[in-house]
Amino acid sequence: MPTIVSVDDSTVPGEGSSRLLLLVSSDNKHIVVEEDIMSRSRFISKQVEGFEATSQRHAILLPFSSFVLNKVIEYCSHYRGYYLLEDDPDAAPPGRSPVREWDQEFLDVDRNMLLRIIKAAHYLEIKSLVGSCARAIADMIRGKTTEEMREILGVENDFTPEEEHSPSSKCTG
Amino acid sequence: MHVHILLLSDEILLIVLENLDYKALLACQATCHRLGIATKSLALQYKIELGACGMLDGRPGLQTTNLSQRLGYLKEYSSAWRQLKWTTNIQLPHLVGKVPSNSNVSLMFCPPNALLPRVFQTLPSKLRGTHEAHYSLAPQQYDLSIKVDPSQDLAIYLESPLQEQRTSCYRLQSLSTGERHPLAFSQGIDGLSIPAMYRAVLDVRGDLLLEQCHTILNERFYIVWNWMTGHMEFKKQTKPRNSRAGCRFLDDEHIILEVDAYGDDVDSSACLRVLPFRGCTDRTVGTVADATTYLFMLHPSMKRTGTVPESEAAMGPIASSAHFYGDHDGCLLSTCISVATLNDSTRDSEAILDVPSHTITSYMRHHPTTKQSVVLWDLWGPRGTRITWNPLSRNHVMGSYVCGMKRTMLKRIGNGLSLTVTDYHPRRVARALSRGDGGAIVPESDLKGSVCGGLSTTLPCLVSEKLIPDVLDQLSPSFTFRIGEDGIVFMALDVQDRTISRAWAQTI
Repeated sequence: MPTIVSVDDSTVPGEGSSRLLLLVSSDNKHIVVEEDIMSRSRFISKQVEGFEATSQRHAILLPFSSFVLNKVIEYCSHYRGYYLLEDDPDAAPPGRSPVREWDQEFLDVDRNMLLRIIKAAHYLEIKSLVGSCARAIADMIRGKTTEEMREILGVENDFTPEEEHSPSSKCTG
Repeated sequence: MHVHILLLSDEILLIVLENLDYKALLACQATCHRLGIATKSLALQYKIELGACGMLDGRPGLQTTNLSQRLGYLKEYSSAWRQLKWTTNIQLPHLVGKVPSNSNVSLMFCPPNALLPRVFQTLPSKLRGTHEAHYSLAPQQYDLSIKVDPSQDLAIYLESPLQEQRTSCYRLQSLSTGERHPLAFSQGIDGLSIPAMYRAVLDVRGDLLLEQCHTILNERFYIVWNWMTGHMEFKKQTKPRNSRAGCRFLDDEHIILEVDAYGDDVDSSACLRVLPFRGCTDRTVGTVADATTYLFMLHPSMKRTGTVPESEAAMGPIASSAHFYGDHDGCLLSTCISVATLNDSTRDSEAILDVPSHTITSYMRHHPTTKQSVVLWDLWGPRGTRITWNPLSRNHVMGSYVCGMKRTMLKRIGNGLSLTVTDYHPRRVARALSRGDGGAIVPESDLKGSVCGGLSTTLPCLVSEKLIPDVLDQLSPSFTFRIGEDGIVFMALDVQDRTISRAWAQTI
């Protein structure tokens, strides 16, 4: 659960259709963003609903850095006003997340950044971004051998020599 | 802050893994404990088993079983293949004509006389939830080409009106009922007229339709059409004279063209070409323009790279032909090459090559500017390619079928038939190794490099072999059969009046 701190109404002068939200990153950077932009995030939407019930405005503290948060905001700004099937809570989830060319360029980042974005997107419940990140990670390892996968993902082979040479123990199920 | 993939939650990890195909999932499973455990979810296990069996999920809405039950059926199915447990014979109608198209659950009998009805026969399958049934359709058209896709319950025809054969049009039919397919009402493909060509070959993969047409001249063209987006890609090529050619999808991004030439054009004889296409999917891969890659220059290259025994290479074959088989997912490409010699059939021979097809596509991705290149056999192995050499055995292999990680081959042994099933699935091989669970383990040293459906592995494969006694008395020049994913359809043809005098199916 995020920590919620009360903020002065004057800090967030949002009124009417384009209210503003204050997001606070883990490195304590305060980022003001239009609520409309972040409406793609189920997490933020639920928070805002909570604010309306208590008639109080709050800043939302998020457990990731401003660098990652800005990336997510960039994504949400790009798709502001767009309908994406994956983000519709009432629609049946698509079998496979669709490939969007802009997303591919947007997610052309290093492995560490990609993993940080997917964690943030999952936390914020932005399914379309989670789907795109997941596809990007999967693309990195598709068609690779086990050894190549280990190298790309930075994973150590933690099978014991016995397990390595006795495939039945590794491949049960 | 550094984030490691293994520190992602199970839920996120699962979403990532869901984007992988079964081959990548199997490779991923062997990387480390954490990813190994993550791939054990029911949904991913089902995906792996489904892919390894070479199957696609059936029509949505028709599945009355849940995921767990379907996974159970899949395992039973794999086990039945490995132990060659057949159903009793299913008698099929005695009909005139040929079977131009069969899927695993349905057969279509087309009479030589276009005025007689076509008959469709459905085979029972617990796994697929189908029952034995048949129906017939009165003919109104002359069929140029037919392709069926059971996963979409789709039979797609390219046909010409009986009176007017200068134009042809597509028709989409439900495979199970014979009525118009739901896609026919919305996608604008049904009834679309195009000029009739000399010969046409169709293939379907999801929303993609591939059509290759040959004229009687030295040219052919192919179209890849995404009927959902309406995007169409067209390419014209020359072809060797006197050649036959086939085509099919290798995966979502590549098509494979087969040229089977007899002596007329040495440079192009018996080769497979893989071509990428773009636009039909959202992803751009490689370069489409002129990226014709000669992947298989068959016999001459084989001799040069020393994969054929010297004694055979010295024979000086004068003609060759090739035929390839591949599964839905393009996992394993199996190529049978026949080598013939003039006036001395005892010197005929054949080689069977199993190549993981991802090797082909990855080669193309790494050589995007290649316009034309000859890839020698030694570039494929030893990790991927397995070569089985059958000297003195032209027509020794009567048929072969590859699906998923299983390869089925019907061979003539003396006066009888033998069915061989080779299973490359690493987990099943491992289980068989530990428990002695059906089939014979063939040591890696005997395989000259093993293939596990595209996986690099040190595991041997699992081979089951069985004589089919019921068929022995039916062997005659007019005997024919079809191997499919679910079994074999046998037919004894009466040569005199082209009647199918006896037909039956044995399924798993």
